[in-house]
Amino acid sequence: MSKLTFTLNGKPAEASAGETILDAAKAAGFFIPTFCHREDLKPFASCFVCAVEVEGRRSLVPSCSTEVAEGMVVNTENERVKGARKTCLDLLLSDHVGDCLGPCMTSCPAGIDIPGFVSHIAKGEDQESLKLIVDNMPLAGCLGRVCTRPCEEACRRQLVEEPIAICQLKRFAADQAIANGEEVEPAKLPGIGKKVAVVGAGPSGLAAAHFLLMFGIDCTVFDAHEAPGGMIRYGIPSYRLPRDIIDGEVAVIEKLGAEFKYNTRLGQDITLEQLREEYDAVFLGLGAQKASGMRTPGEDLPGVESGIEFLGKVSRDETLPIGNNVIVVGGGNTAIDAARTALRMGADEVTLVYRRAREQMPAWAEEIDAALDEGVKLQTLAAPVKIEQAGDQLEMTCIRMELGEPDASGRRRPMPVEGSEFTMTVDNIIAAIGQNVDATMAPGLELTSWGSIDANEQTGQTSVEDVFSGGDCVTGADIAVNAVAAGRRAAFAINQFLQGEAVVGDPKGYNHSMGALDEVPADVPAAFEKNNRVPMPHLDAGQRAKTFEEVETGFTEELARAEAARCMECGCRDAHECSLRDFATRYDARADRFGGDRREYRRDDSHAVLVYEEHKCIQCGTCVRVCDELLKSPCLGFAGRGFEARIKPALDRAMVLIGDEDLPSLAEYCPVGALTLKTDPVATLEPEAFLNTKED
Amino acid sequence: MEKFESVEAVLDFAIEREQEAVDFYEGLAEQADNAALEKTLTAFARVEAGHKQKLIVAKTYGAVVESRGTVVDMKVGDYLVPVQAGPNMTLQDALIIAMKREKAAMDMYTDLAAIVDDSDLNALFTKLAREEATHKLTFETSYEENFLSEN
Repeated sequence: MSKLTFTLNGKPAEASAGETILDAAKAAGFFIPTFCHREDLKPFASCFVCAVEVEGRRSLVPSCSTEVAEGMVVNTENERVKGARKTCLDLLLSDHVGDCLGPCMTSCPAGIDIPGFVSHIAKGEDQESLKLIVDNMPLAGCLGRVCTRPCEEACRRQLVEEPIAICQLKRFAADQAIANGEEVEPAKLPGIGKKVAVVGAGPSGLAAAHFLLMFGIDCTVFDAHEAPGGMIRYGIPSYRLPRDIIDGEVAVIEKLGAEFKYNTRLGQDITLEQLREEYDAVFLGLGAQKASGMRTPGEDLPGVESGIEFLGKVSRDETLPIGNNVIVVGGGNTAIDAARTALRMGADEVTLVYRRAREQMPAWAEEIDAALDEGVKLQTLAAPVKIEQAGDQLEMTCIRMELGEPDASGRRRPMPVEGSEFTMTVDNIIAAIGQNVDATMAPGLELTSWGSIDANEQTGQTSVEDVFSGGDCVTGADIAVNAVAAGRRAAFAINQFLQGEAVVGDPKGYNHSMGALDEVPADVPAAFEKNNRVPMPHLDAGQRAKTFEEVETGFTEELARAEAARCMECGCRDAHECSLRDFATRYDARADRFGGDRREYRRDDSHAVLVYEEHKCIQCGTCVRVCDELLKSPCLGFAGRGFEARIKPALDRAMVLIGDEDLPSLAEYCPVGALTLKTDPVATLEPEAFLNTKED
Repeated sequence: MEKFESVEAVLDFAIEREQEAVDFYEGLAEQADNAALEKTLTAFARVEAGHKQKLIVAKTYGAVVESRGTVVDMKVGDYLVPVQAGPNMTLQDALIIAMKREKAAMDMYTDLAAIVDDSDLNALFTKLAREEATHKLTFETSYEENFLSEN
């Protein structure tokens, strides 16, 4: 067959007579996206995302139906073509209704596969559940107990009644492994002959080590303390997080290959310069362990200490003496932890002093309730003014506060009420009002004006290229799961750095969402019957207030299965194969570029094996052509015209009435998630997906 | 009160105080070890330079020193222990220094308003006190949001 010669992206190329530009470009190694083109179907040229530029022609042409001509000059990748593709994708996304990944997954900073692990628990596959978690996040048992659950805030189940107990199910998966004596090890790549020093065995450092080891990079973890965990050991009491849970999960990282060196303080026992010389890269997860201080006169008197100092001391020795009467200043989680801990250490009366109203306390509402149940008293709208010695005791003068008129931002700020000072005489005062970063032990790095380490948000890379950082020492005191996520991102970046690749961290693909809870179509929750969240069993307040025994006792198998079965399995069954998502990622497409109405949510799962979600259809016509050309059955067709055009079962019947036995094959042809098989699970992370991060 | 015999003299005095503030924050910035904090303090100095410029315009064109409405006094800085500036000072230290400095300026103008007989001068000092209260509120709001979020 004679060959045609043409120019493709500035280079000479050949094609057979009758060959389309799409096929010729593909043969030459160029990628051209298409939704509607299938080799076993006739060209259709409806999606136009395969458009290319042919010099001499005013408009772009569909490459799937345009044959190469002798001497043709074709551009498939210039800015005009890319812009046209992006516009095409932006338009398709503008009225698309659906989620690629469930809102729980996208709101989890660590990005773990929540529908996946919950689904395993519902099916009784506890080991598989934990495996899916640990391949994407360490410390499942720890975070399952202490995470502030951003995933649950996004959970759609609350549109039916209450969010799924995602965190407590994660804890269940971890606890089951302990109960059954099973060891679940993360996947691991072969060693690459590099070693990294991780400073800090807190959540970010442990996460960084976990993922570095999975990438085949040796790790030594240094920590100033005598045991691992950082803030989750020295800032969270054991009645919320038993120490054997931390030790067990650190042992998994040790088994992966980490070497731990405790009682080794950066800037004292080792220096950053030494580590940079001895290791190929350094990760700093130093935490924010310096108390902010009230800056009130008398703060340095004996008997006054910070919440973080107090919790740290108790973590080392839970039998320390404490006075009968204790004040804790602050309204955050550390203040609540300090107050409940003081009760357990024998204090008769513990009072929380907070300068705003209870509704403004930043602590977790459940923890505030638990503290009050145990007998902690709450003195709101009061602020300390000074502390003085009063014999063997301390006298704290406070001033009453009132909430002022709303300011420009709408917030009512606390204002002191003149002449309202009052005193409280107590034995101990614990000030838990926040923590700062002390990065002076790592000289040479650029800092923010807060004194925290200035590191790239996506990669953790600092102003020194082989030094990465993440967690509280970068963000200031924050929740543990954010530290874990930062350690994970930094591990990806360090791996890229050590392999000589561009340091970009762990870039996420395009994710479409139905939107915030109030934007979700009413039909979505309406499809589920009410079935309330399973409450977490716990010790009674009277039983627990004087011991460090774990308060929340964990789900039984029966409770866990029932709770997991409530999951609505948000997310798309096709998210990992979806061409729309793939192309949107490649061309940086956005759903909000064009306004207009979104599609109506119409889900038809009446068919035995097939689900049709009309709201996800992009009208490429592939399924209609499969029916016509391959199945020889007019079971699907276009209805309506223009923007109103929709693909529907013939005569607008429900899918169940079609009944064609070959119909399931349509799911294979659909380039998006409009037609899927019921047997396919909703989008989950492939267990070792992140280990294959290189783009093909 | 001979010194403040005219509106012009009062404005000259206030302009000098603002220049002192500019010099003060620039001096603090020079002391800071942390480059980012140095930038923040330099920004404080620029804000004070803006206040000075506003007063110069008022003096040159006889414009009224505008300061309307009630300024909230959160008294956040009033109860805090004073801090010494130094190379290791933190942003928290810097804000405490700033709050206390603005309070001192506010109190000074309030006191001057109370002791002058001339009603024009009294009105001007009151407005200047309110201006300083506004500056103090800016720093207090920042301190409250950033260092009292759990308190």
